Amino acid sequence: MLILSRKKDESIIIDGNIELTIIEVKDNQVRIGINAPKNIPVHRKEVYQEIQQQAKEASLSSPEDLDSLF
Amino acid sequence: MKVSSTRFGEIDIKETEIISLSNGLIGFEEETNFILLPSKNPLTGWLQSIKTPNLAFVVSNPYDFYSNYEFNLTDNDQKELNISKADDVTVLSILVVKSGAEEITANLLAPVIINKNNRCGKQIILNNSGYSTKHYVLNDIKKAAKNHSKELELTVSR
Repeated sequence: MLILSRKKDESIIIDGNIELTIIEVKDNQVRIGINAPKNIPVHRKEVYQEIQQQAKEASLSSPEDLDSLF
Repeated sequence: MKVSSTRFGEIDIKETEIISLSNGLIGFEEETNFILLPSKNPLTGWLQSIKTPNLAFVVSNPYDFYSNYEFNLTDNDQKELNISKADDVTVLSILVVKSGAEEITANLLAPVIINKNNRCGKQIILNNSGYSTKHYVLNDIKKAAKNHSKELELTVSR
């Protein structure tokens, strides 16, 4: 993993068109501003993990499970 | 072409029946091609992977049992999927069916959006929508199933 140190109001540019700016650093929380083209989805990782988890559970359903419903 | 499926055996399909999701499903990014197979109940169907025989998801169109469902498709997604009106779109939510169907949850946070005309789609995440990956929908589905006979859109009849 590439690790860079940044101070408040400093930024990182990724691939020329994605800009991450450190907006605020307070206690153990950092606020980050993200400027990216609209076609780049940006999400908190927890949201992604939750959706992945749901999909994994969903893939284990069996026809018998479903049939007993109807 | 022939598709093998652990749950349904070998299935003969036309290539035009394939639903193609450009970025796959979240958690299954390598899986971009699916076929929608019918289940016993018309409210639900099976989204079967073309390349992985044992991978299939129970899906449902959330509007069939949860009519208040609402979201906006971003301009970018509309453009990407070549969608110009609501009528072009069909929506699938992935369901988790617990053993014996004692409990069913629907992922309303990350629906799969498909352009009906070309069967191309993608999974989107509805940030700040208040929807989650686990809506308890067993009763809604049971209720809706009573007056529902139309098959899930894009289903391939076998």
